[in-house]
Amino acid sequence: MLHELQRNFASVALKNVTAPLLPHIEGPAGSKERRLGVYHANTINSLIDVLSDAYPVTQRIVGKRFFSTLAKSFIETAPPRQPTLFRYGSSLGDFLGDFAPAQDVPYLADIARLEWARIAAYFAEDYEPLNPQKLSAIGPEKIGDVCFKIAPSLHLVESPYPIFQVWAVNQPSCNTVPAIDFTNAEQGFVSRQANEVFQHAVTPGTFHWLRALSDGSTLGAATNDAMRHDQSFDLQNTLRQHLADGTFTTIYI
Amino acid sequence: MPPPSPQDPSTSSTRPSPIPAAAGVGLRHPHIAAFADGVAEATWVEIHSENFFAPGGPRMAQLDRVRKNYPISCHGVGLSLGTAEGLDQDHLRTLCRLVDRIDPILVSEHLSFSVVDNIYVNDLLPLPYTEEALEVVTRNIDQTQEALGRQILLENPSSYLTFTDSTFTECAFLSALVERTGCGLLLDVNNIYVSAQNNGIDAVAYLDGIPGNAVQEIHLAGHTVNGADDDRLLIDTHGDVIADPVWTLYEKTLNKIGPRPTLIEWDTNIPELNKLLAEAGKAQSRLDAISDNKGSIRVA
Repeated sequence: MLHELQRNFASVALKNVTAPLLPHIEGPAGSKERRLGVYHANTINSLIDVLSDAYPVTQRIVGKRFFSTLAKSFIETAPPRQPTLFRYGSSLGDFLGDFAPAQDVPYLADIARLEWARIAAYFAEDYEPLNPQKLSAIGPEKIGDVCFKIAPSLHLVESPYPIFQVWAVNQPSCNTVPAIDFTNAEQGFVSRQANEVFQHAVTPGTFHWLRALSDGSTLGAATNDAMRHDQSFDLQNTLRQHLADGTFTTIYI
Repeated sequence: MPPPSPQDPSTSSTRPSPIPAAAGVGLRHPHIAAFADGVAEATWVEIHSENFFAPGGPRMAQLDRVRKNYPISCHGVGLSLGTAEGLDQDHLRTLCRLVDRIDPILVSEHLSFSVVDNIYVNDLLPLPYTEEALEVVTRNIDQTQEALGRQILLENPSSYLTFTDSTFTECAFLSALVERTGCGLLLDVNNIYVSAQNNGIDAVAYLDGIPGNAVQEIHLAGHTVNGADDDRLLIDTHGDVIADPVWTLYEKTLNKIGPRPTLIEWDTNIPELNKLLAEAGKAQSRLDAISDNKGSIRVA
């Protein structure tokens, strides 16, 4: 009994389907619907707020009204599965990839994926970055066999569009808008160090190197992979940069 | 099932001193830095537990700093004690981890449900007050108190409707839960007012039906009025100053049950910290007036 009633109430809250619940509500007909409508409005509006807080750049690009429309569609397709709302909305990027009314802005889905990567980095577990001396202690004959455990806050993002530039010019602090060449693909990463979330666009070589290392490749194999995609890949500088960025937590052979 | 021993500060050296019967404020994102730095003039704060369910990151680090400066109460909005299918065990475990981490002074949840078939409805949905619901909520509170190893407080909901199925009044339902589980009550005076206005109930009679000894915390918040006359509905928005009739009802509550830790909730249209603290000040002056008359009552 109770479970059935609760299921019907969830349909009111999420979809405004009131008919099955009406016989259980006190009061005259029109009043019951209006009262149930309060729960629907509370639920949907609060979820739209959650999404608009999580996706400020996506919202800025399409405007508040359109964002509200797409958020409603998203909520219908993918209602929250857990009460921790800071985790709600992770699949908005994938949703936008298929959302017909948003296809005029072909980079929108990837912007949303970048914004979600920032949230995932923000809430990721704390970690100790790798002490570079541990790597120095490995002899040159073994260095190619080293594997890295990657920081829990590191997220790789790639797009056929210049999403890092689009994100940057859509920050409230950005006063000058440079010309953006929308034919430029961009790839990069988001991470967090000392409680600060940061992001960098990187060269294709570095991106493939990071991806290979994330997938568990040895340093040797990952470097070969990077060189295949980008002959100018500079291992020493890239490694130094990522040791400084706290990209790795431990090494193992 | 017997209730777990209620927290007893006199026998626990690790538990911080109990929240005094003073006014505190809800900890919201725009103000968190002031509390992390310890510069906000407040006696205690309350968090929404679920906002701090992350395994790490800046928000958790800030919470640890807030904890050093203020007693914290954990107020859950997502455990869904009314869910017929039972509690989400992962959620309960995460709540236990949070409680272990910050050792809150109070832990509270709502008399409502928000989870059905693994979908989370982001609202506090009302329960019909039936025997079946009483059994469900009893079981869920028992399980929560057992997992936490401490008593929780249960908050009366704001509601916009009543069910034809109900066989208990809300007060009788809450009283039965207190008796069966040993839980305490978090009395939301704004919710009493909002529900009473919306559902044609006498708010003062409601107060008379509440077991005052079980009340360990009071909530106050702002509401908005939608429509007029027969269409009039009060909406529990937590987005404004506290309305005058709610202050009056609060005074009646204090006169009846004595001073209790009182929390100002302000969750939408969040104001400057000073404005929020000014609302807490208004509650504090009423608490002081009551304490002067009746002597300080220590609430654990």
